[in-house]
Amino acid sequence: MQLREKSHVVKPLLGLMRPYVPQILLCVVLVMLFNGADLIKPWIMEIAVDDYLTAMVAGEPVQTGGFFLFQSLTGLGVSYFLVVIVGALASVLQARLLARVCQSILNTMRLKLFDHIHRLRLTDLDDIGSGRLLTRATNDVEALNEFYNDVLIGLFRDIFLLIGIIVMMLNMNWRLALMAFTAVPLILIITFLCRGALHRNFVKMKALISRINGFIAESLSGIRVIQAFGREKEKYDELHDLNLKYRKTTMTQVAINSFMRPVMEVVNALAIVLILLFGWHLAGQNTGAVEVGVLFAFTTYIKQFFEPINDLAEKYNSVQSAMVSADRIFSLLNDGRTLEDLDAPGHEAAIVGRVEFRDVWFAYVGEDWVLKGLSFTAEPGEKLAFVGATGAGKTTVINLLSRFYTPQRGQILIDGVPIEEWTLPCLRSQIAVVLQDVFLFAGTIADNVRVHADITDENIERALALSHASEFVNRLGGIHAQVAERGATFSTGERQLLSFARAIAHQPAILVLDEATANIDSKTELLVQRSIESISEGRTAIFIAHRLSTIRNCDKIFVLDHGEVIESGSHEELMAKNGAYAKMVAGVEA
Amino acid sequence: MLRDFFRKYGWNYIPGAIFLVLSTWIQTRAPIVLGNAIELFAGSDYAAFAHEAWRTLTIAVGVFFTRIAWRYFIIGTSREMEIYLRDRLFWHLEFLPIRFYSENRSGDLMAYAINDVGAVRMTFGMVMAQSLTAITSIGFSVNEMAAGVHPQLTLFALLPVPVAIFFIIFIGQSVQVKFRRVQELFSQLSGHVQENINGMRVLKAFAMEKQQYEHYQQESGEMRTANLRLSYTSALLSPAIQTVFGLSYAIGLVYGGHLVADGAISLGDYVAFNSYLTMIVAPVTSIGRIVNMLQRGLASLKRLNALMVQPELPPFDRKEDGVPIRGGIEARHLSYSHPDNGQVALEDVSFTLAPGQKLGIAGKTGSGKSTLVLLITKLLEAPEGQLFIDGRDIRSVPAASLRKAIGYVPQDGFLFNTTIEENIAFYTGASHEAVEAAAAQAGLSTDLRAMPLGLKTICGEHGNHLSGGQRQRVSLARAFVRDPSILLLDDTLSAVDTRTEASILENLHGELAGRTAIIISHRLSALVEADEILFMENGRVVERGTHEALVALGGRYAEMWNQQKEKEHATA
Repeated sequence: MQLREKSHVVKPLLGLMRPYVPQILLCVVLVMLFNGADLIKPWIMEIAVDDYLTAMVAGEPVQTGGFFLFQSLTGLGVSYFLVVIVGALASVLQARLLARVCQSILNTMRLKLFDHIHRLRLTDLDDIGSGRLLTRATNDVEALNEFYNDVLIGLFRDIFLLIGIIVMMLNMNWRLALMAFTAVPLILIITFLCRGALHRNFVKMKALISRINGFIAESLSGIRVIQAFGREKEKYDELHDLNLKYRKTTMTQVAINSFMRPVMEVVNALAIVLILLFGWHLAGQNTGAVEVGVLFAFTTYIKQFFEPINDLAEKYNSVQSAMVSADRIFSLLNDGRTLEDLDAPGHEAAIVGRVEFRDVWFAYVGEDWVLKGLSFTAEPGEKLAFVGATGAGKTTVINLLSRFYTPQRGQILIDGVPIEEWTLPCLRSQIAVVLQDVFLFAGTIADNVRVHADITDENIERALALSHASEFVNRLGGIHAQVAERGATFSTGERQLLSFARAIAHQPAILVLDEATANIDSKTELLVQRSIESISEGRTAIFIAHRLSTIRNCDKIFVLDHGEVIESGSHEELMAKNGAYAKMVAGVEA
Repeated sequence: MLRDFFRKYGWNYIPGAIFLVLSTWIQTRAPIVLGNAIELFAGSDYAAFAHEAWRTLTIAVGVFFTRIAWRYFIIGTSREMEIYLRDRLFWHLEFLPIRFYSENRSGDLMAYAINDVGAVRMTFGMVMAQSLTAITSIGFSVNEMAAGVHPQLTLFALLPVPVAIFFIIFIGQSVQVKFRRVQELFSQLSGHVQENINGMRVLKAFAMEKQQYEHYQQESGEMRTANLRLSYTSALLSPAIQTVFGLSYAIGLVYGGHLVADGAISLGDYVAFNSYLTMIVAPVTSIGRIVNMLQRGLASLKRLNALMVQPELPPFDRKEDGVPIRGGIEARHLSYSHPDNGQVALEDVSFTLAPGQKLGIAGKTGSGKSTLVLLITKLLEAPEGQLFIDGRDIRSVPAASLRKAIGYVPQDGFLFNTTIEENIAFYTGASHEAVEAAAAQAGLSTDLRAMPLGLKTICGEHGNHLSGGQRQRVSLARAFVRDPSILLLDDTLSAVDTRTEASILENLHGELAGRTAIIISHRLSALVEADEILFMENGRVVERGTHEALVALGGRYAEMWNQQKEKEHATA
């Protein structure tokens, strides 16, 4: 990612932390406390060696002074343990505090994305794709965790620790310290080179393993085809090839990992040798008065030096992937698509059921008109039907009526009020749409009828009875029976009946029904037929019909052809006209 | 399942273990050298001092080489094992009967391939190495501390360590439990989001966004709590270990310091002792992880072994016997019930097809039509003496020979995520021209011309870049290209519109000439020209005869025929 792009991701990420500034500042203080503890520990050891032990061994009087706990060996031991405890407590507190902040931010982000997805218009939803949206709302949010946990506090912790070590070393003996620092560039170069190589290899490795897993998953789903065509050997060879490629990347990873750590040890050892020899030299010249304890402390500090550098290098990569996720999330949230405003004020009233289309023009893309000046009126309680070939624009009528899309020209009026003036919840909750492809949620039959609305079990039973679905629901064990695997066990007809019940349970004023084209056995077909009759009773109903027998009793029938009405009237009128409709009917009876 | 692997690669662990022990031994020399150097620092023998100093570097170089060596042998071999396991597992899965696949969801099987293989690899790589490192470095260090420095000091300083081990195992276990909970919630959350996205039309149509949001808010809150619990617990581990070892250092400082003052140990010993303490922190800390991964690895190995003993396709069926298959099929009172639940799928079905004859089968979903096709491909096992191919009992015809002669077009038209060409050729080595011809016979030419990449178009996951009708026709072409003597069409044209169907059927009749064919279809127009049509219900044949005879009969077939004709006209 480019630097400029990065800043446009980092800013909103930091913005999310604004409500938690006091907690984060407290975290910083706690980090300093436990880093401080790590730094003081070798220093106490140094005091013990230089001020006490060296003197005792040499038989000289011990020079005690300063802080009262430092006045005896036991005191030093106690203070050492106290420092450890303070450090541990600070570390626990800091982790808890930071976890709270992180989780609150993640929670906020999850909800924000969920809400965003629900406000996307259906076209945009299809356009972005369900897989991508799912990844944004779940995996990408989890990846942000790393940003807050590792980058913010982690970065601070590592840098502070590095500075602390440098200061402590300089403070103890600046000449020796400078000598030790000559190893730093070497450490930096090796670390970043290895980490870089490791990361590049890791990306390759991940791509390969996901290909392998995808390949196996695909083969398992297509196992019938593989076996029926006897192609087991060829599929195996293909997997084996992938496996060999994967092996190469894993071996590279093993090699780099095996090299990196020990080579650091070698650099460490080199630094220690330098310090020891230089220390002897300084002591001999009597310029720096290097004490044994200082040498001992230095060996500890040099070991500590490696950790934050390695950590920083590791973080650099994990942060990059977190940034990619953040970038994806923010571009989804700020991509300028129009969202549905569910809370916008507007007209709210009980719908009586008058529907009017006035010269409606609509195209999904550009000037590719699907509806060309469609006009019709349905009075409350009337039954309307649209017939015509696939692509004539029948389904588009439904999409416009539930305001999934808005027409480019013309007007749609519900009870005389333009459709845009109604609030979306008010409009949609009173217009029930039954789609061809019935989507069933995981849960019970009752859940699927209810779709989370507040509907009593009695009313659900009533809706099921009205739509003639009671019989098969009872066969399954009643309304609290689970819908297995998204209704895979239901026949098309049964799914239809269930979706009728779902529509009717919500007591809509207007019913829009897209008849299923799929094959339904004759017994269920009869049930569906009767169900349609009973549920459309007393409501404005608009049918998108595929079977002509369904619509014979409709008040008005519209024959659509390429977005235009070519004929309209009742069944009898249209038959008398002897036009397109009459031809269709004749075709059936021939 | 690892026996063969160990026979071939097992010896790698021997040099691996030797180098590993050598590596830790060299590493545990460092504190002595440092101690010596510090001791000599007070003196005046520069040569001796410099010698000790340079030995530090020698040790690091020694560790460098031995570590690379043991990692090559142990970790490298475990990676080799991963490849071996995955290959073996896949090979085995490929030869399991499809009955196995209806009982096991492919998601669960994927868990074997991913998680279990990974866990076994870790056990025989990292876990093995870490436990050996832990044992040897603790052993060497404690030995040096006790024997080289001071036994009593060692005892006192190490007194708190068992407490650390207790914390590590206890906290580690608790972290595991909480981590699983987080994962559970994560997949629950993902499932919820996914369902909402897929069912968005319904949710919007019923204006249920608010309710969904509240529901999700609650789930997301649970996720937050679970994550916090996990963080709280795992945040305890490192401070707890540090505190315990802090106590050890403090004891070492006070008691060791007094021993130095009393002259019982030297200053160099004191320094070495402290370094040894530092050296055992990491291995002690790793105990928790080792125990945990070992448990997982053994459980995974057990699961894999249980899977590997599932019976595969017997060797007899894997080899062609060279007898050509002419295409005669005969069912004699064929009955089949699912061996697991005893559910009857076929009952007393009889028919005879001479080579080149066509059989049509109609009936509702679940009437046993697909079972019949699966029996003929030997994907399901027919009872003895009930199903014959060219007069031979199907049980004595090897599946390999049979399947080579069959062109099977499954109901769902399953395609692989590669090009259309590769899907049609499907490893037969068919030439580009042959593939093109097969595609044309399946009525794909017009569609292919509309695709910029033509036959090179990628089909997408499960073929989802193509329409349902296109998928079915590609799988039809896949059967044609093999020039089969038996064609099995399992409701092949259900997603194709009537006009396309008519043109394919026309082609089909040319293509079917000289081949035995069993055509299953919901759409009866596809069956009109069959020599005989069986109308099935609940696994039994309820009506049979030619199309004309069945329509004249005025039974269920005739009813279905009339119904379909009406609908065709409404949408025409």
